[in-house]
Amino acid sequence: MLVVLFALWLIFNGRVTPEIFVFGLLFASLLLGFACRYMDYSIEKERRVLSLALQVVLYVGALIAEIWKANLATIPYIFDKIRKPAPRIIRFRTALRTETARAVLANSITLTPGTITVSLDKEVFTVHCLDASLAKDIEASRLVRRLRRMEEVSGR
Amino acid sequence: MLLEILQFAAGTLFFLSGLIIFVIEIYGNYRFTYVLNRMHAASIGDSLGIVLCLIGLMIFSGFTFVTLKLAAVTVFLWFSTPVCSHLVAKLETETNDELERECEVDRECRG
Repeated sequence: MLVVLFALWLIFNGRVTPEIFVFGLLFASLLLGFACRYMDYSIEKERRVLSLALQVVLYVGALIAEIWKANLATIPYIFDKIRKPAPRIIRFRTALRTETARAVLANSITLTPGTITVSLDKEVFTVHCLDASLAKDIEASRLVRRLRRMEEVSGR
Repeated sequence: MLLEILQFAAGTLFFLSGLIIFVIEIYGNYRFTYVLNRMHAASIGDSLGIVLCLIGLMIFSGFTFVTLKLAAVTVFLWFSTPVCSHLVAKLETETNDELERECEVDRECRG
């Protein structure tokens, strides 16, 4: 997190001088301290995230692929002479155990066009889809498998 | 020289495809009449259109801090847009009593 904060500081500044460097380090450590003290963050959590780094990269890759595919699948529905949409609200139960993984999945579902997460109540997702075919196998998609794998790696 | 032409061509290609996606999105926004359907059209531009445009701009600016800033913008956008659309969708489904006239609603749970 320290590295990410420091990198953001440098990116937003747009140049590197000794002054910016020192202040950046100072502010990044202050923010990290604040997060640990008041926002329920800890170095222990950081270590856990770091051990999942490879999985996270794979997940982001899979997410970009899914977004690309979903875009290409959704665009024909806009021109209804090609395909007529049949909107539907579906509910499904997920196998994911941790809150974080569920929230990430909800965000990813909303980010991919054609499906929007309406609500997430414990393990039940309510999803609105532009056409039922866009949400086929949504409960066992590649993203769910990747997240499940992450949970297994972190021992949950 | 050749490299510059290539950079310009690649940047333009990405930027133009982003713009085309935006045109499709706007057309979809006006064509659909119900808010939840419109949001699907809008999310096409939110997820793919804007990113293609930003990639085009990144290629234009080359290896500079501006490129890194644009990459950061992409990441922040992808984090924040789902949250907003989720809130709109939740509000609509919870307040609309005649939801079933607009779309099929599954009562039972899959999986």
